[in-house]
Amino acid sequence: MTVVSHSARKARWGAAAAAIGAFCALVPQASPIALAAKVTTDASTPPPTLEAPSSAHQHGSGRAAKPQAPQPSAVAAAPTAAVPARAAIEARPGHRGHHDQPGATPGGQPPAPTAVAGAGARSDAAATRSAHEHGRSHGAQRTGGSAGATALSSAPVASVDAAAQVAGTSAHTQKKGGGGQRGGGQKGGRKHKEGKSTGAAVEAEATKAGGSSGKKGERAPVGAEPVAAAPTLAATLASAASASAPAAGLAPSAAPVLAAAGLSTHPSKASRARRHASARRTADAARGVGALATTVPLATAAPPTGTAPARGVRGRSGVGSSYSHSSEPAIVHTITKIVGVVPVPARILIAALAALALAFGLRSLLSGARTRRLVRQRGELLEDVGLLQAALLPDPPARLGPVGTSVAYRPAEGPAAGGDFYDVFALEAGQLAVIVGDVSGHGREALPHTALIRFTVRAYLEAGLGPAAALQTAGTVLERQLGGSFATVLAAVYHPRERTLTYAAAGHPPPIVLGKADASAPASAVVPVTACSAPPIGAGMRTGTRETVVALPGPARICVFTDGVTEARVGQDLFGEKRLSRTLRALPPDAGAAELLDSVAAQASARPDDMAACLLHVHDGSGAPTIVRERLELDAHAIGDERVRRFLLECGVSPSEAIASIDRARRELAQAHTATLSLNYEDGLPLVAVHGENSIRAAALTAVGAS
Amino acid sequence: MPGTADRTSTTAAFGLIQSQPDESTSVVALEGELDLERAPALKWALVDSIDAGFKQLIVDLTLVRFMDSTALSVLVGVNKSLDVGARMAIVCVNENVLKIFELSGMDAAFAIYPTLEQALVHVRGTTTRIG
Repeated sequence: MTVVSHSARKARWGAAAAAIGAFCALVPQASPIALAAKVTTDASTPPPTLEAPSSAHQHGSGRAAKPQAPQPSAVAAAPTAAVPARAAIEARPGHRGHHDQPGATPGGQPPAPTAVAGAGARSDAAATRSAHEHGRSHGAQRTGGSAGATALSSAPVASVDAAAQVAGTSAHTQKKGGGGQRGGGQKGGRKHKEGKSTGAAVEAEATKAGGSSGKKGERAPVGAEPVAAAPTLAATLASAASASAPAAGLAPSAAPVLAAAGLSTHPSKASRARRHASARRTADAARGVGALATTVPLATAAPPTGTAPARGVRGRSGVGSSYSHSSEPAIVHTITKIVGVVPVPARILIAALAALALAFGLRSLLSGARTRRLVRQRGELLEDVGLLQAALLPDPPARLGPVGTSVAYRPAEGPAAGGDFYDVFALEAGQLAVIVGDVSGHGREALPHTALIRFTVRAYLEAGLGPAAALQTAGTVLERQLGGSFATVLAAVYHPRERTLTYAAAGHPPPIVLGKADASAPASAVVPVTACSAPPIGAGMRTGTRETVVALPGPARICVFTDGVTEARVGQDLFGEKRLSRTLRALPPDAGAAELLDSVAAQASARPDDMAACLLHVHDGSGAPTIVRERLELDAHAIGDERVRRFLLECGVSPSEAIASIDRARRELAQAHTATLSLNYEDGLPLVAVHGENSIRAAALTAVGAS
Repeated sequence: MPGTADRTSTTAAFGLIQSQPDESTSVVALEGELDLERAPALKWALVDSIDAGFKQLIVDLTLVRFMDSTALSVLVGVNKSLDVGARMAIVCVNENVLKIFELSGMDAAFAIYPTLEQALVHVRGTTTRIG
């Protein structure tokens, strides 16, 4: 290793030091660093002249890379700076001593004092070694960056060359240390042995590494060169320091460097005593380097008194804290030193900013966690609603008598899940009943109502009431129980013997009834009469006033659905009943409700509401489905409605017949609570029959309607 | 259409305009789709009108091209909660919306008129409805 190559490296360090110098302008206390930086560049030149801190810093920032004029008093300056510096150095052994696992890093502790004494030729190698030790020991536990930095900082007294060497080999020693640590394991005895051997290796390596540096050290054991070396190390340290605070990191590092230079000329008994104390703390370590330590005059102490500047105070305090916090890792120690040179206002500002950043970070973290939790909970709740809904929905047999049945339910894409219900069950005499409904309102509050309505309507159907009567009775009974909500329901009963389907709706869309397509014609569909549809259950009006009977002589499919299906969106449009009818036609004849809803979902761009569907397959026979009977029940209030006439016209009644029928109904209502218009189709033409009813039930229903 | 001249503000992006043709009448005019998302706005507009003491409510659905069951339930609920003496009317000409009223059987519950003038006449109680 030649001096030339080292000088090139020094130039790099000098550049780094220049940058540090610029920073030092802002931190007056750090001016020694500037000096160090400047001196660094002059390491190969005669001893530099000491300049005033301010000018030195200027120097460092402006011309750091250039060789400087001789500055003889640099050495003198060093002792002055030594007060805090020594403290820092002395702090290091303690902290290192903690870090070095007894077995894994033998001799880790003593190297520091040795390094401090590094002005001597012998101590050059020792310093390098100590650097190696330090780097190794840290490499065993920390990242390469911190290891390198610590190694360099611990070899402040080594000559420039040695320092450079240390820098170059720190990575190597770090690796070695890591290996040693791994190899050493955790067993004391083995660790001890391993430590010893490792120590020896390190020493050998140190000697090798410090070969040229050693020469230099011998030539000038005490004087300008060690001082120059110190700044070099400082600069090296700066480059090794973390990017966030390279300049700040240099400040404390430079102090020990200068201290080392100064102290080497002022060995003292006090330092020795301290060294011994430190050695005692780690017996193994002391033994590992005992020979070295004794041969090397230790100069850790004896700061020139009275010359300690303000930073010296910090340095002393640093000693105490370093020792007392010997359990702190290297990075914490470095930070502690950094904090030492930051002006108080800046410190307060930084602390405030840090606190603010921490607060914001914490808040962001908390809100993020909260958001994730809420999203998860919402998903779980919707899932729960879906599960509850599914639990309330029965799983009917695939076939009831001659009719194939299938049901399907798809929750809404969003918070509207819940509210739809259906039921398919057998009645006496082979009849088949279907209930499909939708409770207004969604979510959990709708669930109890769905069960209530479903079982109420089912009970009336099972008791033998027809669909309209069941809905009417249920409406009367449930009016008060539904509170503010209401429900649309469709009830249907299939009569296998008559091959008819009787259905009644309460605010619910009528079913789609499709005949079977054949070669001659597409599947015909029953066109329902929608005028005078009955209102929902719970809407405050009489319901169950309409009933339709459809004849199903041949194969047919009946689809009962909730409005979630027809209110699914296709772009800007609603899915609609026509599209649903087309979808049903397009399905295979044996396709069930699940396939139907899947097809709807595939076509829809959005499904804001639940979808429920029930499909009935009527097999055998021949002939298209047709409406064979329509029925409308009127009370005194409804008879005056224009809608009644429209209903009759829609049913195919002639206008004159319609007027005559309404007149008859009105006459009936003069003596009865209700009048029922019954239209029976014979050969496609309706025959209107009117009859009044004056039962208790009718009276009660009228009362409900009036309320 | 007659009656729309004084309601040019219904084209506002918000889609819900409330106006007061007289001191006792509140007209809530909506535009576009009246669905699950918009229904609450309609509900609060009507509830606020009732709370403010308006006895005559008109829901103008002239510019609504689609209404779902949620909005219908809002209208049903408000209609049920009307005080004695209060009257409510709906202005609607859109076939899709009228079909919703008809299929649900709620056309019997509401006074539905094709124009605002007719609705105003109804809520002021000077004529019978022609729904």
